Amino acid sequence: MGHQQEHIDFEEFLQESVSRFRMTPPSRVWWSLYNNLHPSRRWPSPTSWLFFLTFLILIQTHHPQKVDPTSTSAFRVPLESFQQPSPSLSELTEVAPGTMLASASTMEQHSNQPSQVRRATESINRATDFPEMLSSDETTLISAIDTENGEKRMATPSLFVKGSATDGDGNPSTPISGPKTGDSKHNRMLVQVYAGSGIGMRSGTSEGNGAGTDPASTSRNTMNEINLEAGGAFLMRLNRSFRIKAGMQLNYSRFSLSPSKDLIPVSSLTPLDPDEPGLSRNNQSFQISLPIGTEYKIAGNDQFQWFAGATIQPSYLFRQSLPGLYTPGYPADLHLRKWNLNTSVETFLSYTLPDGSVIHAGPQIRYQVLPGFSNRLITDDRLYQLGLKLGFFRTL
Amino acid sequence: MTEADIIAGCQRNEAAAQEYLYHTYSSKMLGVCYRYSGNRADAEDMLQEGFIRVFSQIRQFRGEGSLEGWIRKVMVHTSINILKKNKRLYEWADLSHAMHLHSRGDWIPSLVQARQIVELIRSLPLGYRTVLNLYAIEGYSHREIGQLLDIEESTSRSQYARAKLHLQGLLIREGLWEQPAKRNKHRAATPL
Repeated sequence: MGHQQEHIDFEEFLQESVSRFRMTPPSRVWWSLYNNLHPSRRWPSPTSWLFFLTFLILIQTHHPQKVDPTSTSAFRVPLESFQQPSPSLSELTEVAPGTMLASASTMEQHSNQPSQVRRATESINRATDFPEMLSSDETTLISAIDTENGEKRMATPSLFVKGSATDGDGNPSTPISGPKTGDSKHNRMLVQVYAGSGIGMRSGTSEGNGAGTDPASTSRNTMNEINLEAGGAFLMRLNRSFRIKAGMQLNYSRFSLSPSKDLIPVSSLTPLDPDEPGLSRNNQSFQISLPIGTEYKIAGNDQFQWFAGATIQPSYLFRQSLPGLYTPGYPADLHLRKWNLNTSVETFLSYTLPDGSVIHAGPQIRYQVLPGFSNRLITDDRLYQLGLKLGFFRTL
Repeated sequence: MTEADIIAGCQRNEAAAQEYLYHTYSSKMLGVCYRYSGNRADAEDMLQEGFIRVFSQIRQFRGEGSLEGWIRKVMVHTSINILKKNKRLYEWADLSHAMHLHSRGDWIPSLVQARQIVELIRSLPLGYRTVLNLYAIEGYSHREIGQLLDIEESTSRSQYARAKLHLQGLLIREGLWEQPAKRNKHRAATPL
């Protein structure tokens, strides 16, 4: 009898002790399960996103710049053509800044006349910025670069230089014509990929709503966040200083939240672990945004430029996780606002690489206009994020 | 949203209902899987596999007994099926080795009691641990355990007896369990 009682005692003791034991699974278990249950709604994981964006950046960095086949002869320009006297230009000539720069750098490698090459390069740069200020000699020099073996080549038209075109023999030539490989609007387009990380602060004000010790109380809470951001955008140059842009962006936030500390008094919310109501849990959210905005060049030269920009970002919260909380009747996750509006201001320095692509880096402040939580949880919360953004530009 | 609504939602494959069910029971069920698994990562795999079975078989739940009990049963069966692929389940190792393994750690005092007991159970070799979990905690009979693990009923009985004796020794050593005689004496001595 005593032995039987001991059996029951021991098993009851084990059952009672073990029943209190809980472990919180990481959110990836749920997302893996979700993807398994709903394959049609599957979203790529953050790792896949990062991989995809890295791939894009690598393509942008290593892909050879598109050069029109007819203009590749610019790399084989005979030096004699630069040494010959150049008559004045009198007709409209179309030349491409990209082609000219490539030609000039090739000249620099092969020519024994660096001063003339340097002069040509400077003239090309000036032609890009201020075509009307070019002297006749300078336009002649540019024209000479674009000429090979006495035959005129077709150049990618993006810049109109007023003057007269000549061939390599110094004879007056007709304006360069032929099929166009692009138009000026096309060359004004840029593609940008970027990624960034930062820290954020979610500042919330909870008003007493009948729960807690003091129903009339108003408490202010802050939750710190870690943010990651990645995206891509198309930009269009409006003029030398202004660009407009539109794109798509993914934002990931991870924040620690203690139900009792951060969200009480909230009568509708209770922690899942009643034994540990003050336990902080790591929560996360994935947001997809469509940033639309503008960038302004404050200062700079051909290599270094300083920009300031601003965007508004309609955003959709497509994944969220608030483990450890539930509201009778609703999953806690439903308390996160799905649609939101973010704004951001940024400033960045850009540097032009020899292959023509541009890297940029700078700080960004992002502000969430609407509360992140629905009104049932926190009456008024706002999210501020400060981060560093790195990216690439490439002319289309 | 009542339990019936959640079950109905899960039967319709609604993501919100599935998420609610998962968040309600996942922490408890991970604790169950952890007792059977070799480590936390394995336990998470068991949990995920178990919930896939829960959602795919929830139409079979007729409301006889609690939902939690049914989910727990699915989790245990899933864990056992995963363990069966591991041949170590059928190796009845020397229990003194488990004692040695356990003695090495100094983590016990910092953990809460429930966790301590779970970790002591997990310090047993896999076969003993599984039989002990099934019989003492889940309440299976030795015949059911025999069928579940493909072993003789007598084997289950004998292995449980050994596992229990060994675990009691560990619990006493850690001050988590008192022998009944001692406890009765202690109760009698305590004034009301």
